Amino acid sequence: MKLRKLNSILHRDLGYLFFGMCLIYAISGIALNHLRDWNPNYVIKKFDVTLNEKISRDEINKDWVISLLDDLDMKKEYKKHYFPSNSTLKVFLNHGNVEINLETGKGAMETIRKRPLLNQFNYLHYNPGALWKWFSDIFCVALLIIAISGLFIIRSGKNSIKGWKGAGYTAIGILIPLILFLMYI
Amino acid sequence: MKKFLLPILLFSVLLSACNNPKPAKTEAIPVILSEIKTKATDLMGKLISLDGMVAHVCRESGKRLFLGEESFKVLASNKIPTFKVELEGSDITVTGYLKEDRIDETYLANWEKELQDGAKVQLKEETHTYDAEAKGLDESAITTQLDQIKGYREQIVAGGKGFISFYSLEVESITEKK
Repeated sequence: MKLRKLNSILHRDLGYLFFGMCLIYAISGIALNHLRDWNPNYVIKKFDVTLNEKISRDEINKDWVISLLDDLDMKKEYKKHYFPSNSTLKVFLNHGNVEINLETGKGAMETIRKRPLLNQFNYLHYNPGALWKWFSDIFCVALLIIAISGLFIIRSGKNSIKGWKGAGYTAIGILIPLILFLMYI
Repeated sequence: MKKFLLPILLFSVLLSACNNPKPAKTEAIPVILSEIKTKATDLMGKLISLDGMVAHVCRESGKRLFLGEESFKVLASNKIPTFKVELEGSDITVTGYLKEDRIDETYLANWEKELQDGAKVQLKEETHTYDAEAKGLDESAITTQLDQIKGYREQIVAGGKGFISFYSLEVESITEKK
């Protein structure tokens, strides 16, 4: 088999094979790049909660907490409650929590839902185990092969690596990160 | 068969790579959460296990959780890169290696200099506690950090050792109790 044909086959087949991985890393990459601007894993909503009547820590039991959650339409969400301090009640929900200051009777409820797909993509991006580590290593090697083989897909003309467009675009793609690096150091 | 040679080859490499013999397991020393600070010196570098309820999981990164009423910090590691928020309120057994971060005057002076030089200093993992998260403190704000430095200086003087210690656990495994 000619080298050029092997190059094209590798480029094509690895491209197909790792299409899914490209999506996972590209999408989660954008999501995690903006970690400071938003929460890429969860949709978190906050609601103010005010007790109708003040209550002391000693009067609070599981039934009372469940009746409170009933008022908040969260009865089925009860998981556990505890007192981080004498004046604070914290209720854990299956998807969130409620924290109330018993002295003021005021607090907040937080509901937490996973972002579909993004949560799972981000989880994988963070390298959850040995199998994934090896698979993503193979993916990285495949990306190198895809990138290098891509340079030699077109034989000649302006679009080839020897032409002004191919060589120019490749140079620009290398220069941009290099310039940014020099700007940051 | 030949048509699928490439994926088969890759899958074989994957399987053989994961077939490495696993290192022998070290038995973790069980430690009561409330006693960890007093026993910390003896536990450094040893694999320990802690039981407790997950009081909080960091929302943004999932890189840390806080355990029990002590709000003891557990850090993600290569073994477990992130913690799920769903763990909040669950009773868990966590194993890992105890880590001590000592904050002394040199550390604080460097930190203060960074801020005075106008650097945007993100929250310091060494000193980041559940208290700060619960109070909603913006630990990347300069004023918050200057207040923290002032507070730590006072604690160093009061402690008389010339430093203060922040302990955390670098996680090896987590088991959720049902």
